[in-house]
Amino acid sequence: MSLDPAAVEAAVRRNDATEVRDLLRGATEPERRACARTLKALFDGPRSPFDDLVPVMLPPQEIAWIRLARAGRIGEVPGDVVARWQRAREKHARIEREYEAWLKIRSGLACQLAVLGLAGGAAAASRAIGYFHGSWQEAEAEVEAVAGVLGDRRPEWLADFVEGNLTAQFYAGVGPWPLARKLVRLGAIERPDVGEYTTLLPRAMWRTEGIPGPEYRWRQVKTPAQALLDDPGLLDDEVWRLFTVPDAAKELEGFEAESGEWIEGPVQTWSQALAQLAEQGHLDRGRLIDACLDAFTRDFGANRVAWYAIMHRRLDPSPGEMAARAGKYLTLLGVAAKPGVTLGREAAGKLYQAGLLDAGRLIEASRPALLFPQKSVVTAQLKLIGTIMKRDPAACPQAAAVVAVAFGHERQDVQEAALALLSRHGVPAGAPLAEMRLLAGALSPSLAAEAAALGLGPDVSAAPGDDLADAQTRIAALPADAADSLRPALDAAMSGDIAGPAAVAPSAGDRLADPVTDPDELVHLLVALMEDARDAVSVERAMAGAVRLSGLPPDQRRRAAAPLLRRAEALIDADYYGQFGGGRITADMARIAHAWGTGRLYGEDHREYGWSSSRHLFAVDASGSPVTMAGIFSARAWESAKAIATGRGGVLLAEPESGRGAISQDRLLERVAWHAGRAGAGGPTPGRHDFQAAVLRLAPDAGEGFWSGWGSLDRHAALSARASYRLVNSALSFEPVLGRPRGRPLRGYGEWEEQVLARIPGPVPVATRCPSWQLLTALSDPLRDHARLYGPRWDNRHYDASVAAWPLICPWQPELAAAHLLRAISDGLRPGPSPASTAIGCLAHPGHPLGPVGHLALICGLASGEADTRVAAASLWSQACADGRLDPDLAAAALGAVARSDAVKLSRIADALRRAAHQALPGWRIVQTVCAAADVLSGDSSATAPPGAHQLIELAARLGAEVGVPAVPAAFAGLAARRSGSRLAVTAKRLSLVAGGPHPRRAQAAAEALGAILHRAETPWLTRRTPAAGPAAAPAPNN
Amino acid sequence: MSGAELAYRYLAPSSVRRREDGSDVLLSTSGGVTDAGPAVHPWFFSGLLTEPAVAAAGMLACAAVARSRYFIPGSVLAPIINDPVVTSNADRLRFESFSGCCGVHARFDLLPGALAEAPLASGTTNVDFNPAMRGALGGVAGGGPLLLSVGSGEVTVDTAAESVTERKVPLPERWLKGFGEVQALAQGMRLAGELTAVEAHRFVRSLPRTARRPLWARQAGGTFALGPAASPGAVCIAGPHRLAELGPLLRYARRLRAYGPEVGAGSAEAPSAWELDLGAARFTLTLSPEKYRGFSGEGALLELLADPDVAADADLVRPWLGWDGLIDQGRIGIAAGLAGGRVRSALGYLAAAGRVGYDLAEESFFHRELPFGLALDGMHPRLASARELIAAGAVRLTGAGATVRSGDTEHRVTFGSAADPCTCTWWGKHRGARGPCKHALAARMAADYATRAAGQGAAP
Repeated sequence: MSLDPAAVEAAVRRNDATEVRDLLRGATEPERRACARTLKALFDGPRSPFDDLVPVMLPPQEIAWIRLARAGRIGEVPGDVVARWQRAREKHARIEREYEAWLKIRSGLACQLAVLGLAGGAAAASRAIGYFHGSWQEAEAEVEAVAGVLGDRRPEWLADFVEGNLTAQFYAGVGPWPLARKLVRLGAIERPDVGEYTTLLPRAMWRTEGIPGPEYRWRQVKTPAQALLDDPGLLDDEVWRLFTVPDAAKELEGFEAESGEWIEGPVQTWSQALAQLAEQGHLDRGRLIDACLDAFTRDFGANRVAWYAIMHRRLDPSPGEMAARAGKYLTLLGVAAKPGVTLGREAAGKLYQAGLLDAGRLIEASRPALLFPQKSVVTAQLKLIGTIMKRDPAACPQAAAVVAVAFGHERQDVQEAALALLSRHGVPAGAPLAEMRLLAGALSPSLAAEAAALGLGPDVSAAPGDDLADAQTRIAALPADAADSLRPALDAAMSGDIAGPAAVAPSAGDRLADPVTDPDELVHLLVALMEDARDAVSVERAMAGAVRLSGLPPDQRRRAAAPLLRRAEALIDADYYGQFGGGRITADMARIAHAWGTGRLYGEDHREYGWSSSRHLFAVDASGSPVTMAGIFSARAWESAKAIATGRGGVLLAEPESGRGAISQDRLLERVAWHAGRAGAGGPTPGRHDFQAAVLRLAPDAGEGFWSGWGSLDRHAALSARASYRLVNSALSFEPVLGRPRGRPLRGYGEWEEQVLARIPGPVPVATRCPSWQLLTALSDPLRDHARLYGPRWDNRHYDASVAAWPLICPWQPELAAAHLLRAISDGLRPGPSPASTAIGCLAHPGHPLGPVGHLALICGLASGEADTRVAAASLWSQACADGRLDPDLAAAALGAVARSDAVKLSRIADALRRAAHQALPGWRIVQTVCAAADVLSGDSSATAPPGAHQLIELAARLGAEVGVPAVPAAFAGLAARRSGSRLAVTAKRLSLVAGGPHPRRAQAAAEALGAILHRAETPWLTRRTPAAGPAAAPAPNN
Repeated sequence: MSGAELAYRYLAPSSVRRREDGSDVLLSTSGGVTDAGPAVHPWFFSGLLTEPAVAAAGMLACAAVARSRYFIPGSVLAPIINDPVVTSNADRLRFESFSGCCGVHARFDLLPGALAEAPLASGTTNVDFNPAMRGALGGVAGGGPLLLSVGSGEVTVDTAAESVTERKVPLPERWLKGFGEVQALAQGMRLAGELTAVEAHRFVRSLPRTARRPLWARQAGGTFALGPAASPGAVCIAGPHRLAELGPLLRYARRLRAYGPEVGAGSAEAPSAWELDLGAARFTLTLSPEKYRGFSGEGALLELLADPDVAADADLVRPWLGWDGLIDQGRIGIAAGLAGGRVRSALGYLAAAGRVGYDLAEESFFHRELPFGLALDGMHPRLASARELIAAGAVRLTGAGATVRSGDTEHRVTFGSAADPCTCTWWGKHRGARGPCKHALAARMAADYATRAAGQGAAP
């Protein structure tokens, strides 16, 4: 038979699907290929009228004419223009008519069948199937026709096509499952070997129709049981796959829930359908029960198997059926899914009660269930074991040993339940005491006395002096006056008192490596910083080094920088933010590297073209002044790059000397003197941004001698600097602000999420000559200015480097830096990429005191939506305790400020603090903080307790059992006195109970608190306000 | 190699048969090497296991890693190798698997105490872990004694065409390379901490499910405290969700041990290994330094592979491996006539080539030959590029370093520090954390050649 393309085309145009199928039936593959080539134009169709739509920039005159025409003043438009418009409109209308006529043919069933019958492969067939417009549930005729054409043809790619359809993320047209099933029934393909062939079955066989009316309601038109019986082959294979394919149960569970929500009238769920079919003998009931039980031991997700328990209950096995499967039920006690464990426990309990299960087997199988994460599972299992102990005294020794497994559970209330069970029955003779004592070692310290009463207690005595012996030795090694000042603290610690936080003032920090004076070192630094600029100190060193070494001969610089110039150009070209835009410090470093190597600013003109629409992204304005936080560094980088390009060498006044960015008065004077010495000889002059940065970084307490020294070198600059210096060292106060910032959010769509920010109430000293200070202190309305000051930060991956530089801007105003770091931390309160972890890291330096804002930032970090930020904050909590910076009163105030915020979840804070409490002192500070925040956490008369508060109180109770409780606050005592079973009241009671002791780690906490103070006394750079003396600033070559 | 395929051919699907008083687990084998040479369907073991529940859970965990991708780049959606590899070492069986993302290696060791009888033969092969068998294996835990067969003498009679299972899966080069390289990385790790069973339970359960950035775990009392940055004694956990397969085994655990390379403050992300001591068995998960990065690009072996003598040393060592479960380096050194350091280098080379594995608990290599036809040639592009640079005369030694001409750019390499800084972008991006760049490697190789040449010239 020969396939006639003309006949196929005619049938397609008539939309005669039967004729098309008849014509294609029996055609060979070469004939089909030839026919497809002939009909290609018909299948591809004319061009879409939308293909030609391109954005155009109309001349102003044309726009004016269009406006006139729209205003009904067409008469004022020149006639030839109107005629031209008319011709264009007619042309477009013709194209549209042609396209719509073709679309009608193309979407006809006959055309689809022809395309499928002639398609050259699975991909082409998949494209064709998408043209069907009918509802796939209702289009059984279409499925029949499509399957018929494919079944007649049986191409070698048919199985791939079907599997591709089944696994496609989105599909349109003929439903993939009905088509696959039809082809299986026709014998055209084997049953597809993909999970979707099973997981799509429940939906495909769920037959409902909409009920007319205003409400969105449905009714079931065919039960799943009837649908299965209509296609009996399903009962032999596909139904059983529902028990062996991952996620099938999740689909089935959806229909159990859906039945009551949207559907009116009698509804049969899938579990009811299978139970009915088993009852009627269509399915093997025993096999169904086994399939349900076996499903829990397959490698399925633990939260996706609940339907099997539903199905099992629907089958309601008899005691005999259950007894035959006793081993399987006991195995369920060790699975990861709660419904599985629950099913196993219930069945095992019934079998035991009926005398069909040996107590010893049941007890032994209970071990894994006693370590199940959820409390309800463990307590139910303990209850069952308790029943056995009551009924069967002979089983008590074994039962007691198994109950002790629950001592290892992470929840204290579970441990309590296990101890209570043993208390009720006593530890029977014959129980393996040694093993049980070992397990009792995992009990919370607050339960040690109870365990000891049962003969299971670990040794809780702790020698208070042991932990302090080391501290005594260290104090003795200090200078006499320092040692004397610490002795009262030591005595207090010896008597069990835990010292409060240390008095911490900003310090200069550790001294940095020597300035960069070697071109090779500079090149290596730049190579690395062009790729990753998160090391803000290295960025500063490299920038200063490039300025210093810009006085080298141009040839030498070009040779040295040659390997990195091409990469620098690529990075600059790829910088979306434009010249020193503030978004990517790596690109800023590339510009500096390029300027150093070539003596010119690469791509300086980029900003002039095409970027006007992106002006809001710039962090530095056209004059080179910063307009955002990120711009403060970029403005300096731009200024430095310009200086480098001049090739005159120089020194940056603001080059940091210490890890916190500080510079000493002596060093600054040296640099000023260097500039003054070259002022008359056309030497470089300090840039204004460099000057501002130096003032902000200058160590405090600059006295008259310093200013007169500067004045003797440059009187005008000294006066200006002194005025600014006095202002930028003013004391500032802050208060928290919660709310949604104004304007469009910087990430995502819609509205801003609630942010936690800090504001400066009242007037701020104005340092007009220091715009960076003005920018830093623009915190009168942080919600209004948040987007402007924080952004641009679309590119999360690169914004970390910008944020990392913020603490170096104002090392002597740590709270001001924290107020801006809080923006990034607040950004991380909801899940998603943000620079929050980096911002937390910026607060880690022990020379950076944590004031109210610092503690607010810490609490927000603990509440972060991202686990790694919470881990970073927890680590900061531990570290700040160890170095004496953490103040529980400030932490409690911060907690109180945000506890009722929508943005902050106390459960996350509790999760993070749990990670912080590995040492005794951080645990003690947590207890102190929770107690200090008792009024907020317990809720007062005007408000209920914030959600999740009980988790913090529970944590405090757990830790308090180890380190003690300061004094149970009245708010908690009131809660504890209530006759209430609420979690809040229960945890408050627990906290009150543990206050009495014993507190085995209290001495350790006291030693650690003393150690924090001692550490500060032993570490000079933690108290020094001037960076330690280093080598003199290297002279700039050739200058 | 990137277009290579692995063809599995199992005579019958692996199966689990439930008996009245226990279960029979038959693992079908395909390909590999035995002590008698290459085999099509080797038979390594038939015998009872002393702890069936532990064995079943361990094998399932191993298979789960093989089927997992803990990070899925959009471009990689091809099927992955689902079947573990089994090595029989005279007195023990080791199941190994490697995740499809090339970032997690799992090994489950059934130690001598776990096997009621000694293995029948030594060697390495692929074993079939089909879904039905996995499903049934999950149920054997409480079902009495377990008779395990790795291969069978009987299945050879059942060769009806319809029972043969054949599959072809692609063998991506980075997967192969990572499988070998992870062993070599393991030998650079040391024990960083250890938890009891209860502590391990609590620690694993407390791990965050997701973390965008790598975390660092350091032993603090009865747990591993997590932190955001490296510190001495810490081990890196990049993507804590990749430790999920420890979960089902925790109830059998006696100890959890963490291993990692030596790190200090500010160290870059590093691989880590997590070992569950299960009594007569051990389960070890080795994680790559970052969740989106496999082991293949680590470059930790490049300097070793650049040694012109190491391949020849490996050839000398290989005949003496003898399918030992714990390789005695002293014995091999004597047998092969090599000094201790050279034996260790040769074993590192053989590890990268898939010829030996590394057992962290025993601090020893063991003999196993991956059944994938692993060949090192061409698998390390940086090494190949470095050799090309030397061959082209692009390296000029300058005393404290070298200049290396690459294209029209001349890079400078500075010797002396650990990472041999270079002026290329690769070094800028990784700063030595992923091994030397091709320029630094070429410079080191050239310096080594020059030293040898000078030594030969000076020799009498």
